[in-house]
Amino acid sequence: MLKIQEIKANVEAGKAKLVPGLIQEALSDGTTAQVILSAMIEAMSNVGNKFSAGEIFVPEMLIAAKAMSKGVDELKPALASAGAVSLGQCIIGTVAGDLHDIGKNLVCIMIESAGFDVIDLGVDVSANKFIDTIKDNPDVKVIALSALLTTTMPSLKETVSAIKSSGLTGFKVIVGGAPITADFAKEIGADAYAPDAGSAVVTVKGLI
Amino acid sequence: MNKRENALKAYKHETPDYIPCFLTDFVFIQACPDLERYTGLTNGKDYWGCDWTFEPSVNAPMPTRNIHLFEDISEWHEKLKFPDLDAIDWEKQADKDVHTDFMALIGGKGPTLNEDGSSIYDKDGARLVMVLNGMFERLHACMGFENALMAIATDPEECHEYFKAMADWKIKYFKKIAKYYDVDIINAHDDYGSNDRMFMSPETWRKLIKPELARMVQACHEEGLIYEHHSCGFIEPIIPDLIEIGVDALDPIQACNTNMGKLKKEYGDKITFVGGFDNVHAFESMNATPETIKAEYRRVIDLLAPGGSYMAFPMGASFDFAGAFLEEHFQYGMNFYKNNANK
Repeated sequence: MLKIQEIKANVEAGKAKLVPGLIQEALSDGTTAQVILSAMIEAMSNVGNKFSAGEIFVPEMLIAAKAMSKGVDELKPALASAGAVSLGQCIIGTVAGDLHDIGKNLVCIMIESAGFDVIDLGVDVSANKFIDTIKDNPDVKVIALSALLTTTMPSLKETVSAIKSSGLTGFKVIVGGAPITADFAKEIGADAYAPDAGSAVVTVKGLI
Repeated sequence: MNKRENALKAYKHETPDYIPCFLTDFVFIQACPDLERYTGLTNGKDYWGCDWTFEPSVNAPMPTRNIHLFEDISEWHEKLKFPDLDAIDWEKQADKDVHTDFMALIGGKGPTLNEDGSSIYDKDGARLVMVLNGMFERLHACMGFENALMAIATDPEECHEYFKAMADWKIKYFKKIAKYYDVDIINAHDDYGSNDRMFMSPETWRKLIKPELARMVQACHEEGLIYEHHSCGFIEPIIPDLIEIGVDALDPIQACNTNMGKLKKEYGDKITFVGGFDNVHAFESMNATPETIKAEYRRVIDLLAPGGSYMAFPMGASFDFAGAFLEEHFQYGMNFYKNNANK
């Protein structure tokens, strides 16, 4: 198997311990960091698709993301010297009053794995905190908001509304979470909705 | 027939006189509540050493963020200290538990005795012991949810060893309950599903959890207790497995399990379905009205209650819907089996 295919297969299979060594071997063989990164991004895209299709579950997705993360760490020096550019910044968080983070973290992992710089504000994030972070990062491309509880759906609505009426522009707002639907997303003025982490990354790529 | 006898008929997959409801026909206890969770309104540890923080928005304690007993599954042998069940004075504990105000307990007020001095034995409801933190839930309470899921993928054998040990402990706990409490039902909690899929693949669940859960169910039956399993989320793929290992009843069957009508037809005489209501789009919807709540009650009753072997159990983050729910239960549910076509 070609080294690059081996890296891809091991990222998909979540072999975090093997990926860094394989990357060093590929770099030694003259493969560029960008080519290796592209292969890993493709691997994670496959992981996202398999997750959306129900072929794999959260454990498999998490270990693939961990393998990807180890790989990116290994590649960082080579990527920095090659002047690699990201797809853009994404600010993500679970809205005020809601402490759930598993779904948000999965989206975070997948978006980061696709090549975005992610600013994760965590859980129970106020609308003001989102707005301040957008102001601090004026080049941000995507704001991703999560709500898991029916009782925090109003908070999601208020957050979208506050961001949209803040006068800040240049980014899109995507929402998701167990009780959220495409109709609700539209009703509250979000630009996009995704039902799971696998499709979130596809949608986010389509937004920019 | 009193409430208890009526509910027990439903657990035997028979048709009771009326639909039993968790809000009106049961008495609840936890056996030594501090064993499995911190029970106060701030934060503290359970008997395992896991740290919990009370979360008002869901009216329950949650594992305190980023405080873990271990993060690598290989460390469980060394770092997980199983509470010594023989060190508890169960006669004294049971006396306290049966006199405890259950609603105050789950509301975060800790174990406080009923003001009127009554015990569950003074009431005529079915006697249910709620056992929190199943094998999988304890795993992620100990090591964090994402670490637990990754361990399942990377070290399934070690996880299975953990599940075996945890089932052994639970079985011993069930035997203490059977010996010291005069109760009917063990309601054991272990969530296996998120809103749209299981936390792990059904195959993984069958390999790692099912054999150990089967031993726990069998132990309950050997003690003459009914085993009711509580799992939130989408768990349709494993419902036949739960029936196979002898689970008597299943709650809360959240509405994300969209094929319940079919499952009722196929398995309704083998397992008691408990719940089935849609909180997201009905009971706790932003647009909920008494009429929509009542319509949801009737939808589920018409789907799952015919032929018996069913109980009404509304679960929620808030219970603002309870008034309309009960009104419809009294008008529709209590009379449902008076119609012979529904029996």
